[in-house]
Amino acid sequence: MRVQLLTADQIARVHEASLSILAEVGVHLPHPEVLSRFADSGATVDHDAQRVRIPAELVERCIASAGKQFAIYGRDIAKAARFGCGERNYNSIAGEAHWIDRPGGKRRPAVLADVATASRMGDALEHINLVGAMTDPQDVPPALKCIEVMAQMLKHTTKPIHFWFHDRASAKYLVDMTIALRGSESEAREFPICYPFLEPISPLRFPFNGVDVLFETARLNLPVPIGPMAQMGLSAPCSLAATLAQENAEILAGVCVTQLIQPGVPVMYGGIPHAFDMRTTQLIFSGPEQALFGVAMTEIGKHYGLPVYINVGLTDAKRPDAQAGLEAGITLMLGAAAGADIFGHMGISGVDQASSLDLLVFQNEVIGFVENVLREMDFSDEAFALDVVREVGPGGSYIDTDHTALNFRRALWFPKLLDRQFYDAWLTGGAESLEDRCRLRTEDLLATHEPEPISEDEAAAIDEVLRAARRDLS
Amino acid sequence: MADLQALAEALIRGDRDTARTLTQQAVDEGVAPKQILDEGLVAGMNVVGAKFKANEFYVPEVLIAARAMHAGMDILKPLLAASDVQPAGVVAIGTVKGDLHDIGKNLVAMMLEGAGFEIRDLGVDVAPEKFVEEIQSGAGVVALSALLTTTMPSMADVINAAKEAGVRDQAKVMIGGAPVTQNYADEIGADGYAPDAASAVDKARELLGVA
Repeated sequence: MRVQLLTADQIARVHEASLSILAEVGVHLPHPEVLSRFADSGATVDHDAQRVRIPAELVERCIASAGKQFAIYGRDIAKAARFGCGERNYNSIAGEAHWIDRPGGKRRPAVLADVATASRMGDALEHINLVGAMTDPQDVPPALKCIEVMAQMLKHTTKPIHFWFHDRASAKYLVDMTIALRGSESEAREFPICYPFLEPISPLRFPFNGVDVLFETARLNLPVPIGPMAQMGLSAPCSLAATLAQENAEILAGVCVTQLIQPGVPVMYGGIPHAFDMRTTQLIFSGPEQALFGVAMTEIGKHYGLPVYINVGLTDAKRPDAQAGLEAGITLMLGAAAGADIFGHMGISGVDQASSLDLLVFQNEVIGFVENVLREMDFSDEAFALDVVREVGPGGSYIDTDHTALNFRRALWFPKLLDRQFYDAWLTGGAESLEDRCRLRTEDLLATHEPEPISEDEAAAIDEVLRAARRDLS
Repeated sequence: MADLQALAEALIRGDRDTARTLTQQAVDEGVAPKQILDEGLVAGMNVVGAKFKANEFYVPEVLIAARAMHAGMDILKPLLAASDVQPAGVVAIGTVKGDLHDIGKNLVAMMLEGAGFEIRDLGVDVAPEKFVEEIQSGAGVVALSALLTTTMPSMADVINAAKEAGVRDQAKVMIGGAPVTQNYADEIGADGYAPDAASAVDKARELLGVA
């Protein structure tokens, strides 16, 4: 199934508008080295204002040179998240400042111990193939934080991991840790385990650290997702088309940054603009605008041949309630059917208000539903089962045939959380809501799931890098 | 005859040009500046405030109304005796050291300005000493913003710097930003926390004891 929103002409007009923005307005880029590289490549640079205006020709050249396929691998390299090859990936959130222990309860500052919990949960959930730290721990010094997080994650999941990188100094140890885990630099290059995330700050600005980190991660040729969160009517003009064009311009400027640091480095097109709530002054995670943004950004990113990340499957709700189902379900369904490579991030309560395992477990179920809508339908002669129809005939039943017994597990999706009981059975069983079942599954997985333990050698190699970082960066 | 009702309505519509014209007209006709202020500009803003609280108006409408009010105020200010009209307070606002995110900070500054505060916007990546200087030169409120957990500690640095300079009790410190909470404000000894731009205005008023 494939949804389509934009015409070829509309995509071309967004592209043209973005090129105009980059050439005429340009971007603020507070990184002297990268500014010099822009100047050397034919862009107009104002070093004092830290502003670069990027000609269309350079933008096109950088899009062409960017790597368009990549994979990242878990501690267990059999577990991979592949991008740019038609697979859909799902990740839990890379990190939130707060943590919710129980839906509807208070949030508290996230701590390093939560990283292990989040990693274990991501490891357990069948649809999460890229595990996020879910935690931006507040009990660790900022200079060391991402290194401590990476070490925790490697010990508590065998899947590829995702967390927030901080700066160039700490990124060196993330690279060292990857090399230590893989055993050699060449193995680390071939089997990267995580990627940095370059987030331009809308409108049209870049953070120093986010850019600077890339000089270090270039050593392993780590892929770079580029995702600005332009907010329509606040940090982007108040129309869908204009927000698409500015967001696209910011991503393309990011593509140029990556290619000028390391030509050929793979990138991902993070088309994650949002609407903005004019009452609360909060961005909107998942309104109808988000469904449109998700589909449109996928089409634009795919037009460039790039893997695409979109923000769908999210919710503004604080708990896995009916609003969450409506918002996550509709936006994810459309975004997935548009053909993006990764969606998310999953497990966030409200708009980046905290992380919540109950919401993650709920969204895992939504993903299962959506994935089963997107299955390939079988129209072979065998699938029509005419011989079974002849055999059963008018008035018979199919439920006790071999054909049904052999096929129902393939023909049906089996939800883990949805209620399909008869009324009285549901009532006497405690009249549970979906939220209740999310809680039960969360508690059950936390009590029972043990990830494949890390080997002593691997743990020792990681800890050695961690000790070096603590010594050098504290 | 000056039409102060029309002036109030121009404000409510966010019509800056008309607000400016009608204010000038009223001044030219000899209407007392204080009367223009009370029955035109303030009367209009009161309606805007009421409509916002009643969910009839949204933030952009409040902001363009405030912009219209400032167009009128630019004319009235020199005419009003200094004792007649003081700003609700002087707020020095900035995104703390290490952080370049200013969208929330800018929104808070706009809302405070609309509510009559004088804003000294220090921009992004602001060093603690800069905030201290602002206190020394009369800012009654220092408003600190951070989006990153890695830069939140810079908020505490500002409070400590103010203590070291011996000016901590001369200004109220309020903080905000996505990862910031009331608990964090309590922890670092800030005077106030606001979860969003509209409540930041209420918080600033509360801290300064102005209506």
